[in-house]
Amino acid sequence: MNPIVTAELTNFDNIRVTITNPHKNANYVFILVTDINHRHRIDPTSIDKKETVHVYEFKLNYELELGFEYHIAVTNIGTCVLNVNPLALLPDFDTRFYYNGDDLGVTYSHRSCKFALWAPLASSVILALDEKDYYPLKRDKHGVYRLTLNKNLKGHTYVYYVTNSGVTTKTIDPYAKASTINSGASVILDLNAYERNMNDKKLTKMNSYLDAIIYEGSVRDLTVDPSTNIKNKGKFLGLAEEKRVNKDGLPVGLDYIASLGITHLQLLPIYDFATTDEAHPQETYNWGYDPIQYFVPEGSYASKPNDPASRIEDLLTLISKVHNRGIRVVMDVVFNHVYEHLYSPFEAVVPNYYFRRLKDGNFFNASGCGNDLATERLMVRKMIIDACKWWASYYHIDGCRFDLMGLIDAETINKLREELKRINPNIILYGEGWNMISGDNLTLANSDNYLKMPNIAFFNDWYRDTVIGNLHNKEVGFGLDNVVYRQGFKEVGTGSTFNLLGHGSRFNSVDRTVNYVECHDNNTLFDKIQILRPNDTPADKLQRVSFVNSLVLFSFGIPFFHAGQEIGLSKGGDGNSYRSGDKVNMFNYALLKERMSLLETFKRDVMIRKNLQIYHSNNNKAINNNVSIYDVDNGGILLTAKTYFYRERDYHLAKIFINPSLLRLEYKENNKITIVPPMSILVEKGNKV
Amino acid sequence: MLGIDIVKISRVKNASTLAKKILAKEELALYKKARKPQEFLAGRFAAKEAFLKAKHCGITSGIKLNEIKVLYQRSGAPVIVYQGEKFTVSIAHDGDYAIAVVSL
Repeated sequence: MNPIVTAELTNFDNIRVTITNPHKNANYVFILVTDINHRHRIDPTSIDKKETVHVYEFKLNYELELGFEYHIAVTNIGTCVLNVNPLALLPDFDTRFYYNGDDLGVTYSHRSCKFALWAPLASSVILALDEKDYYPLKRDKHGVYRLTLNKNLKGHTYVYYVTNSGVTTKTIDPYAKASTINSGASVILDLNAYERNMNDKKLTKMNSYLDAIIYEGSVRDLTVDPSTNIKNKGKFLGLAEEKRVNKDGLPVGLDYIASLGITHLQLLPIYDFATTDEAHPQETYNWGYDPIQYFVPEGSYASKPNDPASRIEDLLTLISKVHNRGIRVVMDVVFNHVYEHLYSPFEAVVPNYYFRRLKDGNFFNASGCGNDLATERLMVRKMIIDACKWWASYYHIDGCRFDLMGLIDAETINKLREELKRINPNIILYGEGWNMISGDNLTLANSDNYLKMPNIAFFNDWYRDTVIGNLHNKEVGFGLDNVVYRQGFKEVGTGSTFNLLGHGSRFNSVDRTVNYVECHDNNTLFDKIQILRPNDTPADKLQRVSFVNSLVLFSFGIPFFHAGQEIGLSKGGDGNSYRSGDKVNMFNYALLKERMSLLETFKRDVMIRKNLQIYHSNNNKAINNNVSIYDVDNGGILLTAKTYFYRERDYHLAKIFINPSLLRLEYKENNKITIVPPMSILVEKGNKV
Repeated sequence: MLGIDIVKISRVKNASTLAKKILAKEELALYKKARKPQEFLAGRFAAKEAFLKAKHCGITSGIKLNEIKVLYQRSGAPVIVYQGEKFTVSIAHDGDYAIAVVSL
């Protein structure tokens, strides 16, 4: 077998050469070739010779400068490229090459176009304009490659050819704001031309997160039902359409959502994701938790996927229309992993930099997707912040819901919050703060670390498990009529702050808990009831749905609902429907008429909650002093609260009767009998207090 | 083994003195948050007595009541913890009475 030589730069001043199958009794001479005219003999500072492999270490008395391609020549064997990519794994790579500017990507004007790409390991970056004109970029000291072309390049496509350690890869621009179909190439657009009135003035001021009632849904699921007269089904524009109805003439789409009284519409991924074929979206289905371009909207939701401006204009239209109804828009952001990291633009531009590594060089995989984004690295953090700032400033997004936030480091979340609050003081930020292990000694943004992250809220799994039952077993929660969980509900129902069970309080203020029992993941509330209460009549199952929804509304914290939960939609028991198609996932508007009573109860209780000032108080002392909880018959609860009713100046006693049982509840007090129907919540306005 | 005990809530007098005597430190913290302390205490007393009965030893057996801890699980359901071991308990209140059953 012939000898094989490889060489890598393990530190800025250290080269390691490995020779596999070396010659017997070989005495090699090594030459560092910096360019064709400059060759330097280098001598190993240490040698490790085994029969089949030799490892030579060369400690240089100077540092090699990046931005060039180096070769190592070995007598009797040949030459190889010096692989500089290992440098990206070094901690001080960040401090040496951190770039703080706000011009990464393309800066467009009618007269010129400036390109900037951060690629510190690269020896060469070539811009390919429309895949026919090629321009080399020039490197600066931060490893940013730049080029200015003095032309109006509106509408032109571009990609980069980036050469890292002798390997040239074609890639889209990770900071691109526009793209051709299926992420084929980046596109230069005059983005100012699409700006319009985003109707921010139609939004009422939020005093705290507790003013929010969040409703989660997907652009596609909310518009795709064939039984409606929505024209742009499965599209941004479809969700922006008004005066659309189902077969019974009942409002659907945006009108329907606005009729609920919710305050925030949380959209499943709207950034560009990979697994839906944008040319044939009806043939593939995916929620989109597989990000590919962080600054570009998803193309399958565009009315004209072949027109790069369409997805941008359509999304702006949608957000402007939603705002016009007084509803804020939250976007689901996935900064814990990407689609196919090995082939992602990040890996192509700066190999080894963007993903977390274990000490043995393997990728961390807490996300379950093969790669955890190294959010703590300075340029990854900057990219995340820049992307969110872009969505908040250009698209007027009003909040972010962080997927697997527990994998993002807390410092990134804090810096992000500071930056976003500057753009939009009413922005709402919350996420999945599960406690997962990733990275070495990182303070991660999980809910256990909530004290280190002011003004960030967390999906509360204790809430979910106590109200409907544990996700992973058949334990039945309080809301589905299990009195064992009554004491537990008193704790989570009052905001998970009062430590009523002696296990420590989860949060120190009620604006930290996102109270939910259904989201896009796992079973719908109705399907969970099918599993846990199989012997109920169909009517009772729906009544339980209605009761649990009201329970979420009358719990302290931020209420959260998944689209369809309000009328008990089913996914047929599919607990992980991310690619199960439209039939399983779509909002079935045909059911609106027969589920009208659930809908009316939901809307009524949304209004009541909005009108009870105590639910908007973030003052633990006030809640503790003004709220009392009593056990009543049927495993129920009477919650009383001294509170303002909307716009009144006197405190009244609100009596909230909670009856989770199949029997009606009779409550006697001072010769007065209050009757609470089965599986329902009754709110009474009591005397002035 | 099964043990049961019933306590008339109105018999609980000098609640705070009694609480210090029969409740463990963790239970005292819960007691201070209880909306109806007298009822809470009666329930705890019944649970501890029921535990002793299930163990077949009386109140003079040498086991101190404050060593039998009646705590909450995450669900809110009570559990008895004695010398690090957990035991099933159920407590109920109605009107004047608190009742508890313990199974070992």
